[in-house]
Amino acid sequence: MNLTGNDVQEIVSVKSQLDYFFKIKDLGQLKFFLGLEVARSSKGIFINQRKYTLELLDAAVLC
Amino acid sequence: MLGCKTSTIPMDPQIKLHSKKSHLLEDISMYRRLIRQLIYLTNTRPDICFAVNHLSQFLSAPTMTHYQAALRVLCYLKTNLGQGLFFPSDCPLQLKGFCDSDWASCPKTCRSVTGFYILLGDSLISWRSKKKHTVS
Repeated sequence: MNLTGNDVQEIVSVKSQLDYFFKIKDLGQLKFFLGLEVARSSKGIFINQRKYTLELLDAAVLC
Repeated sequence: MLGCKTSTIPMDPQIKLHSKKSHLLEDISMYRRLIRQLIYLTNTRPDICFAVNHLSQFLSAPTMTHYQAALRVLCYLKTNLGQGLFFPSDCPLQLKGFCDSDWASCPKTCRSVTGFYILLGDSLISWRSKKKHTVS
């Protein structure tokens, strides 16, 4: 599950609520999710599917 | 396909793809699987949007020509694997939209393929390539 928002305090409170009811494991900032790779820096966010593309190329067969 | 030649364009502009009833692929599911994976890849690759949309119109009866065209997209992807979307943190909240249409290029149905993309500041937030429902 991903949580996004511009209010850090709100995210923290939602996380603690979820943890209270369901016991969640916080994996920190988003890096890899469903084939999407996410890189963050002060300049912005970069998303690509490099690994997914590699797997696609690897699996494809010529005929 | 990891050892294939690279291609600078996702689709050969000279080739016209048609739906045929003969010379179908033996393993249709192979083509469908490949297109399914390519559709998921359009999440971060707007550049292959047109090609994937075009190829996905032949899912019911793909031939060898269609499959080869799909492999061409893979050759194109191999040239720049790490390409993706960049969302800059400091950009003005100005909405810009661009669109184009190809004036009824489909010879069979006389329908147009239209494409658009929408930018919020410098971030790409929406894009699509789609064949129109009606003749216009």
